[in-house]
Amino acid sequence: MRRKTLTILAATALSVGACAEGGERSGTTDTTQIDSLVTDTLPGDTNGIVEDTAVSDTTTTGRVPLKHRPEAVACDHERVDNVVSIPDNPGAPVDCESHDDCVGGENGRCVGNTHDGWYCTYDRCFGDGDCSPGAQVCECGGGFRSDHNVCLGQGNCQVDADCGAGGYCSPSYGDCGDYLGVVAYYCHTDADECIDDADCDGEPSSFGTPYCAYNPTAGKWMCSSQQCAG
Amino acid sequence: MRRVALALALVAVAACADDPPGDLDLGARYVAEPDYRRDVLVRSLVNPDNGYSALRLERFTEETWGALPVWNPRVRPVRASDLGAGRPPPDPSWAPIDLDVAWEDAALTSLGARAFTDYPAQVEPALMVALEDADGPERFGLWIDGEGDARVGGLVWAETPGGVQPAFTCASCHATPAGDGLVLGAPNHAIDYGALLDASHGDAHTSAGRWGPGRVDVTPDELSNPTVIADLRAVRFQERLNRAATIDNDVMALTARLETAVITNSGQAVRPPRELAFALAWYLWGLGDDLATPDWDSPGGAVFQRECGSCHRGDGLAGPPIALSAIATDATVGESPWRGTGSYQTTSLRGVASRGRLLAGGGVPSLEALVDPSRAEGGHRYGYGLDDADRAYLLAFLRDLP
Repeated sequence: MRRKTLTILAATALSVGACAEGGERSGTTDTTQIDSLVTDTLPGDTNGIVEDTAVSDTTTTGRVPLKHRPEAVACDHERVDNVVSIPDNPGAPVDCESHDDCVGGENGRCVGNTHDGWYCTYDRCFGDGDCSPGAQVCECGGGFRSDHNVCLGQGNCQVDADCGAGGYCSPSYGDCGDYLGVVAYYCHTDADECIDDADCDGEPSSFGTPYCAYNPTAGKWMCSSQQCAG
Repeated sequence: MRRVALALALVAVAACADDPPGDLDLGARYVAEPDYRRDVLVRSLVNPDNGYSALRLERFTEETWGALPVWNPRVRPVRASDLGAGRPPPDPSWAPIDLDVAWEDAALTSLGARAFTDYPAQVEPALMVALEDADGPERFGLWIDGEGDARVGGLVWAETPGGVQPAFTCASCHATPAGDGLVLGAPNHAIDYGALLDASHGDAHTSAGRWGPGRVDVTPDELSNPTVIADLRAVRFQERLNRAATIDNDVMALTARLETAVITNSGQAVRPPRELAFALAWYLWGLGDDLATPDWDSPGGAVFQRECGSCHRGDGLAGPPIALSAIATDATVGESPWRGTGSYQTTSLRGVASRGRLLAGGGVPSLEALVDPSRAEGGHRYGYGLDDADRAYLLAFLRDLP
């Protein structure tokens, strides 16, 4: 129940663009998935997220979300390997000084900045099966200000098929908006008030840039301008 | 039955127009009259220009937040037997909070008490991390109330249109275990919400992870300014609500505060039943009755009056807000563009002995540290000139305020 066999060729072919937040790493997929992904992938695919540009389908929500996850994918084992550079007066805690200090997990890297400090991050998963039971997605490169793979919190789907025939499973921000980035994946339903961020352009924006996210209280996708609790 | 009682209360207000209405009458007006609700809110906002006020002034209208769906879902408490078991399916025993109560003191107090421990004040999917195993609650400072299949952290399972979600109640952050039970209203300075958020996102190192136990950054002002969790038992003694002295306090202002807090906690998706918001405020107002009164005849009483009494006045041990520059403590919380007013609340010291963190940012861990001239946290430098005997008397006086 561990990792899928990776196909680097597929990774090269399909790695275009980046997740909305959380790093620059992309997912890879089994060769058996390539056909379906290539059909849908316009133009970017990260972590198996398809980013459609054209309204070309009808669903229970009436439109294909720009970001959704048709298939589970395996993450690669590559990480950025840049030189750790810590200033003399870092202004924040320093738990590591080089990647060699990070030996407590897989693919350890020393990451940080003068705001967050420097600390080790590790790949927590390489596929959804590495995460806890439940609807958890392994987000490739989805770490906070770091490119390590993380198990996201429990949403209600991992792939589109979990949302029924013609359904879509999309990545959603949480209450902290783009600060924390994608926190879980949720199905779209007829009750949704928005499907993509662009649907929220007309919303009042004096209290933050609005985005479309799953609201766990209302149980549907809604526009929000929330940036952490308040 | 409740609606009849409410109507009768309104009739009573009209019939006795020459008498000032009591708080129960005002609560009935709050539920029934949009203009009155709006007036309560507007009067309570100290600085209409900060973000907290501006948001409410824009949206606390019948057309905007007043039109949100009322949120009173079916719930059941999270219990020890739920740990490691995932989200439970709802069953017929789950119930919303019963709002059908008479509009009188005892019934509303009872409703408020139930709401305090059972109303889902904030749905938080990240809580699943704390419920993954038996050790999860302790890792994040969630209390376990008793033995066996005890309640966990005051959490509830709430049935939403999208499925069952874990949620905080007021008691999650504002109750602490003591002896055989809980002290309701006392701050839970063990809870580490920031660590929970980080853990739910692959051990992230966000600014939330640096809040530490007992502190939460509740202001979306792009600043890191966590504030200490408040002791709600003392709320009725406060002249202002929030550490940044954002709200002029009375039971109706507190009602509006609670109603709008649920709205913002939900991402402005729902609003609480207004009867419930008032009952919760009514209940909180009564918690002060159970707090120990100051022993003014003790040796420490005299020391307190001399050293602290000009700000922490009377039996409430509270007072008017104090300018940030005058108190000279860390101004980070008070300067928030979201909640700031230029002053800090003069926090009531009733119940102070039960608090794990002191001052607005929670930077002082104990009463002893507060009056220690060598402490690192700046500001609030009172009582420093006391000799050892008077300092001991003062500390004894404060420790007698659990």
